[in-house]
Amino acid sequence: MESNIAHKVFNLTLSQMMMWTGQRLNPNLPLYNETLLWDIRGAIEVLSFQKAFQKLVDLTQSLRLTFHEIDGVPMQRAEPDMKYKVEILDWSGRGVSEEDILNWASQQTKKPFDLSKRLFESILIKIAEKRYLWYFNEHHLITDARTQEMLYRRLVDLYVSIKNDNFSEQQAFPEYLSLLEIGQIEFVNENLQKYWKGKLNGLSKISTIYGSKTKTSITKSKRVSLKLDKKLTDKIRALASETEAKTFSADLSLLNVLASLLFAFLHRVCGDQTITIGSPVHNRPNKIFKETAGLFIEIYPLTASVISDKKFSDLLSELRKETLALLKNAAPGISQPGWSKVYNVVINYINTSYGNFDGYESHTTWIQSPNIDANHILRFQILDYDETGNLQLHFDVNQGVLSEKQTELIPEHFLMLIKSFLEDPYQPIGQPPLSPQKELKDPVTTIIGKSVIDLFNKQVDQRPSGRALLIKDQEITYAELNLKSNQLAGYLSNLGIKKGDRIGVCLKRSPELLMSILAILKSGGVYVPIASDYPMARIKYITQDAQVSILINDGEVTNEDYSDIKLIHFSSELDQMDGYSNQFDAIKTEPEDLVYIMYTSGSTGAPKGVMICHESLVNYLMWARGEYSIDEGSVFPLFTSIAFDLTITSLFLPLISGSTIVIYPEQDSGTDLSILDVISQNQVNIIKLTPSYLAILLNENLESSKIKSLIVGGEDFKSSHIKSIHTAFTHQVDIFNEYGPTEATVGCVCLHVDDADTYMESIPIGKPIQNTVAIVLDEFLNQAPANVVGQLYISGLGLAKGYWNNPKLTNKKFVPNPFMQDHLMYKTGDMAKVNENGVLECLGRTDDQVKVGGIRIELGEIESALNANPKIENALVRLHRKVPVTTKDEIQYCNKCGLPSNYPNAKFDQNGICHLCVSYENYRQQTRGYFKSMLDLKKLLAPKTSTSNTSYDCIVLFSGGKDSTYALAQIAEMGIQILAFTLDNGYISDQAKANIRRVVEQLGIDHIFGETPAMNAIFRDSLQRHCNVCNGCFKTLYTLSTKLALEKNIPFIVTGLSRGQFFETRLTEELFTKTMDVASIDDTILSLRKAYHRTDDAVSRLMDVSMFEDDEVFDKVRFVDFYRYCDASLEDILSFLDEQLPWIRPSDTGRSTNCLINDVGIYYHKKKKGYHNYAFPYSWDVRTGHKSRDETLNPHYS
Amino acid sequence: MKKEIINYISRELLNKQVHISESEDLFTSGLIDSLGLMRLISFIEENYNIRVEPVDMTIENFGSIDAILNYMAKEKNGE
Repeated sequence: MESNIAHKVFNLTLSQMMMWTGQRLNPNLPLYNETLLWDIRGAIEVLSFQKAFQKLVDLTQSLRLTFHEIDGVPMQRAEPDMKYKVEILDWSGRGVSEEDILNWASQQTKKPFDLSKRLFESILIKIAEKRYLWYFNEHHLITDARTQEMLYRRLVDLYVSIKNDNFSEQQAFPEYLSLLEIGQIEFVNENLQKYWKGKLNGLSKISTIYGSKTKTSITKSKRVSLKLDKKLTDKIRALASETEAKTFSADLSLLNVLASLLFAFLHRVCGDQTITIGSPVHNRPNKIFKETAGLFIEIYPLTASVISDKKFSDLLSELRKETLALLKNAAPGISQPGWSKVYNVVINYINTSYGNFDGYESHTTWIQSPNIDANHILRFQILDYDETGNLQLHFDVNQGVLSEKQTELIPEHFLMLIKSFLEDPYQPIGQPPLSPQKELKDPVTTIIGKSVIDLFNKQVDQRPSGRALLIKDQEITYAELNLKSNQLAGYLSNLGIKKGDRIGVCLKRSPELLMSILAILKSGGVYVPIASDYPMARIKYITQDAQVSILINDGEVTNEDYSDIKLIHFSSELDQMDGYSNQFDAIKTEPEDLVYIMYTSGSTGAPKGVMICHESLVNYLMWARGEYSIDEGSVFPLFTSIAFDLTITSLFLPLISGSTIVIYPEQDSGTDLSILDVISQNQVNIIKLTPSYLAILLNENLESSKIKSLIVGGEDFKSSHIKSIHTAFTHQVDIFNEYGPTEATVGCVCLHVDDADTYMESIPIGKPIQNTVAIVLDEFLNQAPANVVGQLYISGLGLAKGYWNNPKLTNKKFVPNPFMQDHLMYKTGDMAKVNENGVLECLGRTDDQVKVGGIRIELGEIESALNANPKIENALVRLHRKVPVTTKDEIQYCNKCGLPSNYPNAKFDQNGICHLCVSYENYRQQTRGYFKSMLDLKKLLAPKTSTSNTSYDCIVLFSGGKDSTYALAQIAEMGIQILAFTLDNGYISDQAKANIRRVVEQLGIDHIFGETPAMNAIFRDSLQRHCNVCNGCFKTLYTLSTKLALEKNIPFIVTGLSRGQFFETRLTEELFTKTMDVASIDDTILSLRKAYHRTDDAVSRLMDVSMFEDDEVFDKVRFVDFYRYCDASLEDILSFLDEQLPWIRPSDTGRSTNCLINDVGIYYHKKKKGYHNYAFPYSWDVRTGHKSRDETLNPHYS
Repeated sequence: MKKEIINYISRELLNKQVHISESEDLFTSGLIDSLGLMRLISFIEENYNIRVEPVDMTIENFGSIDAILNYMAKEKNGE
């Protein structure tokens, strides 16, 4: 370095480096402005104050620090002489309020500092004769809490002595910069480094708070506060000094209690069981450090395991242990930049006491910056200023993560926990409620007196000739359906059926099915639906478990299997039935009598029968009729399995509403795809279906469809479907998301999807239906506040009577509702939360239940069955999902590599895997030979003594982007002599250039920039030929670097192309499938390379390419692709850059990490060709294992 | 041992700028803070083969040189 300041500049500490980086990324945000405001209740001599402050600046080196980028590397120096006159404002007589003052101060603190100049601001404001304010803002780069206190006290000293005219020269503070160098050498040792390496292993940030899915990093923060009164503060202090929190220091004990409360709170609102937060330590290991002004603070990770059952007192002792260990292993300079990746919540305890000002009372206020580090979601600040005895707790919350409304609830929740744990520190962490618990009102407001038969009969009376059923061309009127079911009911009665008897129905979807169900109900029986495609063993199990007396079937069940029950083969006994009267007086049932028993998968290995009573069924149907506006014009398809409670809607809702059911029978074999007939025949105007069926539906042409309402149920309904629905249908369609376990009768919570709303990944499930309560409770059965995840519980009329013949399971799942007297609640096993709008969202299962095509399956049932096999020792069953479903208007991305479906000739198989991935499997093995090891690279590049007549072993093409930076560092590590070369295409971002300078500086590598006046012409040509800018840029780079290599006699040029780019530009399937060996692949590539350089384009016309005319150049200068030898993944590369190099991802370059014009190329390519020009190489990066599919689809990663 | 501990405190924590006596209150006087005490505990653990459990890290045990020596003696005897 050349200038005369060089010998006075110092490197930054890691803490400073992190702040410098953060500030560089957001130059205009006051992220690190540390402002204090002292309210001094007395008169101040302004001139003496100004003199005293100037003296303070003279005595304090840290105040005179400025920061400068030298060749891209930030350095600090102390200005020897800095004149500063404190600004004086006179607001006396203006009657300013406290609020005015705070508003002014928070505006004032927003002013950004220029890091290369003075980094503080000091203003004295006269409010009244005997009241002054001192505003003092320092950039965090030069201060910390300890420094602020030292400077205040020193200023007061200086002021008093100057004012009283007894000033004598004072000793300066020890110099900050000279201490920095001592710090690392003296205190950091291998043991400490080892300790922290072990400690950090496996830690991670907390996932989310209050279930927020937003991950946007923004710097906007909102502060919410909790001022604890003296009584509460004293109680906390007592807890700190009496319990497992206690240490040798009252402050540290207090911090332990508050940290434990924070950990408990975080666990309660995020669910994580291992939580790490950042905990700052002043890091001043001895007296001299303690007396030096400047930034020493470092943030250390603090971890504890937090589970709901753990006692709070155990958390106190765990955190005491952890905090003491942290302090034991703290040392200035030990922290690493990578540490900040393991926490996103920071705790900060400030207990400074500033003392009075020249004998006057002085109150301190910390003026909070409206911004926080974008990496932090929450900063928890504990303020104990001036020994007031009242703790102030501030929560600075990142507004990219939580809404304002949600943020405002934090103090209330935190206070609930404080009070509860103060009361009883020995209770489990999960036990106290987060919010006040509400007594719930009895939801049952409507009396359901009628049965489903009453409602059906009413329709028969009102519209006897109305069309009830339609199958193919056959129509059955309400009167006909009624007469037939009466005959069958008579027949059944004659068989001795009594009220409450279970009758199995194992029929395909048909008029007979509906007649049978109606007949069973009319004769007082309970119907047990059994799908006709169930295996015989399951049919037998259900009929036996339910003690079915009669099984109505298609004739497939034979007498040999069922000696003890009466089988009715519908078709063969039809004649007999004709003999019965078509009049039948339905047996009177009570609302609480059973109407059906439906079997669902059971985790213990056998299906369980859910008992539903008349009242529950009718409650659902009455609600649904209103909600879905069902009338005689409605036409429903019956196309789903009768053993599935979703189908109840299509069976009964039309018949109680005078509407029509169009019946689509099961096909004889294979998957039931009746949905396709429903669409092609286009007879229905409302349909109830699962999201899986919906996906099939949306793949069909729906332009002329009559469907006006879609009721979606049975499974998680993804919001991505909504747009597809509105695209597929040309007319308005009402969409409902209906949620309900079988145990709560078909649907108990429902959302009418509002097209104007934007939804997260899944559509919320909505609000409870009539006569129903749905609540979210945590593990200790506390009501969870909005956005806190718990389990969904249902109470009300829809509740099943329990499980048939299984009181034990019934008592386990149907438990007393603690908030509603005399009501049970059903434990759904679904994780849920109430969102800010009071709408329920479902978030998956608490157990192993899965849904396939809407059908509930307990994985435990399959496991039990497998374990029953003596040859199987232990079984674990997990659901493997494939079958992506796409709609026409959406681009599909290969499930393996992320290749978009609009890439030319892209084909996808039934599993959503693209043709490239499929065929790659056939020659993946052959490609292995092409790739080599880093050792091979070292051998290749290492200087050969005989031919060593150059000072460089290779040129490394160093764009400053992440890939080439990594390559450069790795080659440098091999001890190879490198000349780094960067093509300055005129659009390299300043931040990338700073990266380039910093990196070559740190690695100690010679570096040159190359350029050409023809660059813009080459870009234009490249855009025309290739629809991107990269091709032209690459060719220019190869041309210039080859020329340089020839001039300097350097044998190799190393590229940083990714493996994906190899496949984009040179490697093909044919090369591997048709070529025998690597040597001939290399030959082929070389001949392609020769042709490439000799092609006519802007480069060949505008630049000197004469050297490529002769083949000799290709021998003299050989191109080596670094990533042919190196198998590092994107993740490896990024973490290496993060931890080992001063490389900072530029904020101004879009997808690229160095180039500003790249995005123009991407935009043009997408516009012209529809897909991304990186789509193809990225898909290969995934295939070769260097990127993950998610990384390629998310531009922020790549 | 007493001398070694006094030396350590004086040299490592106080930069030889302060003279300390055996009965002097180390902690509440502000001579040593949490970080300093933990450094001192590390020093004791490394040099005198004692493991100080978090529950023992109290003012009673570490408030003065005398207290520290008492504690160490107790720990040694207890073993």
